[in-house]
Amino acid sequence: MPLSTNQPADSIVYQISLEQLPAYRGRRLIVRSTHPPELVARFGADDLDNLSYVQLRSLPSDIDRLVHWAEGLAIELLLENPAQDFALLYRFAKLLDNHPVRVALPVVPGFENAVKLAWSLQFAVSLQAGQPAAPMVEQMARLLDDFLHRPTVAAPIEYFYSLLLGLCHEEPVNLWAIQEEDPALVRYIDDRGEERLPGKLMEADPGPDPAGFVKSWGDTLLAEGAECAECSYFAPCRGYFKWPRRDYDCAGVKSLFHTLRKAADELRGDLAAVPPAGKPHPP
Amino acid sequence: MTGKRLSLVLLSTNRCNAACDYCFEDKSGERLSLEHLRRIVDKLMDHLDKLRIDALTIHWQGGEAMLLAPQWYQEAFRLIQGMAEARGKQVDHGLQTNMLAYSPKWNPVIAEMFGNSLSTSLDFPNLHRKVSGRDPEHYNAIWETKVRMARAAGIDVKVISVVNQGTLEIGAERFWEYFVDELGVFDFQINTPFPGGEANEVKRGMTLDVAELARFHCELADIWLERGYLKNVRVGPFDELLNWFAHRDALLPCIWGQNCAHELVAVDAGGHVAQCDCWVTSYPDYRFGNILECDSLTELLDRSEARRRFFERPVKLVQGDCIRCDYLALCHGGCPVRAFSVHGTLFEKDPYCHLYETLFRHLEGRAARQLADVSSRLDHRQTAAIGVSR
Repeated sequence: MPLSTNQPADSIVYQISLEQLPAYRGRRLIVRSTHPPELVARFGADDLDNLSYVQLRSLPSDIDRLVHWAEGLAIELLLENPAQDFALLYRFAKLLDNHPVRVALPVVPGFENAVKLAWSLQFAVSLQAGQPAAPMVEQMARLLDDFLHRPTVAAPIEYFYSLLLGLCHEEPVNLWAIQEEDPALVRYIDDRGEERLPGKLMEADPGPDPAGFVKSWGDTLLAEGAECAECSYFAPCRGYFKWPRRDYDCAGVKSLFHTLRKAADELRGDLAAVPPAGKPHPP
Repeated sequence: MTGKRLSLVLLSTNRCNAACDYCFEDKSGERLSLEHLRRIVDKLMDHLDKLRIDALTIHWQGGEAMLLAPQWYQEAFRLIQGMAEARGKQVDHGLQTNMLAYSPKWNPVIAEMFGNSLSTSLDFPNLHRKVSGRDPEHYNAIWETKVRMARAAGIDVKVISVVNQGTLEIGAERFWEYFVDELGVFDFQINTPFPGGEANEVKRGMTLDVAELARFHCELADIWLERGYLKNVRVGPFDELLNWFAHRDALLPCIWGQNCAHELVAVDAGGHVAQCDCWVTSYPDYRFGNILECDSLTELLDRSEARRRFFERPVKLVQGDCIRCDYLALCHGGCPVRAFSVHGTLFEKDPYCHLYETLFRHLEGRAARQLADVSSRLDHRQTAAIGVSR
């Protein structure tokens, strides 16, 4: 469920609770809910036009009414406790018949099993990477290897997937945008109705120019001569892994970038070797 | 049940004209009447409507399906097609039969209803299939005669073969020769035995060494790839596994996949509903209910405690060692009835786990080599083209 990085200012996507829907009609929305039947009941047909996706929290049990509701609409399952709840993903597999479904989960102990089951059920995955500790980076590296090489993994795992494509096609990519944590693209409306920055920036001060946060943060890190100044992955990362702790050791995540760049180079070479479509093979 | 197609195993009769030692079905004399069929199909159509599914495949079997007359099937076919058309549904039919009762009288309905194709069963060597009071050789002789007759009438005959100890002893080479070179069978499927239904001496002794079984499967897969693959000989499950690992469309057998309870349901001649033919005939405690006694099949399925256990099975299994398996995406713990018939519970993985893992790894490797060969041929062509242009 990619959100475009080239949107005009008025097309920011607001992540709201279902109760806030009346106040945000006409805007581009992500709607979070713990009660699927209420989603079905409260949404009108017009509301669906501006809906990027719905996010189901707390793994609700009453999902049957969603199966044939708004077919084609993307659904995100937020798996807050992956170690404890991963097996419950089986109960949501029926949504895949009529919806693109992504499992979003934090990179915490136990997340590896959850990712493995998610891809085994054909769910897309979004890793809420944060600033992963070394053991978590090791697990991410194993998953990345599976993602790149194992034929049983067919669904995209973010941020690996978008970064791989961007690097392969040598297009500019922005990890903040891939992770849907770029304030230029997404804003979070908390349950009290206050506008906050998205994802791991939730507690940050929005400042006068929240849309300029990523550039400003990157400029600051470079000006400070931080590790980022000499990092060959700064362009796609833009200091993502230096938030919130600037002293985070990026050695582990750099190895993930390195693996992805190497795979992207190989993929680009393989694609270049394929004759253009429509041109017959030489005899 | 999800997906755009539902599969129904429909037992037109619970009677059988064979007396195979290892059969997992506990037989009864029931046969399906056309009136009961009409009521069953009506509820099925309601169920499809509720699930917004437009296509149904009915796998006809028994007991022995050919113990009802071909005229009965012709009437059943017209009845079902009429009801399906009225509801905007597409229904396909498949036939599983031992062929002992086959005669040319069957040819018109096999052509019209089953697309001039059927599936039958024979093991090699045949140790357990027989007619009551006769030996397996007698069964083989009838079967081979009937298969030749059907082939002569232009019917496509597919074969399911259950591996036994004798099969492992003769080996994959001899097995291939028998089916492909001697019988001319070009579409067959290898199944594993399991001691389903009421216990007997044969079932107690049918356990095979899984490592030996895995070796047999891999050798047979290699023979198929070398001699049959390019000649359009189909051997299940190898053909669909190769497709799966080569990222082509694949129709995997019901023992694998996320959960057979999503895609399959069985109804016997008495209207009992269960997960598949084995469950419906042999494990009454695991039936979901009776379609002839309910108002709605959807409600019957939704309210069934027995069916709920099928959905809970992978949830439990994945909390064990299945989560560590490289092939979880394919298998999800394997066949529930194979697990139940050996372990007495649904919440164990398939006893052929080691076979599956070995076979998956083997065919994954063969698929990778196949893709590499294609890539290599492509490279060779391009290298040649560069040479020409220079």
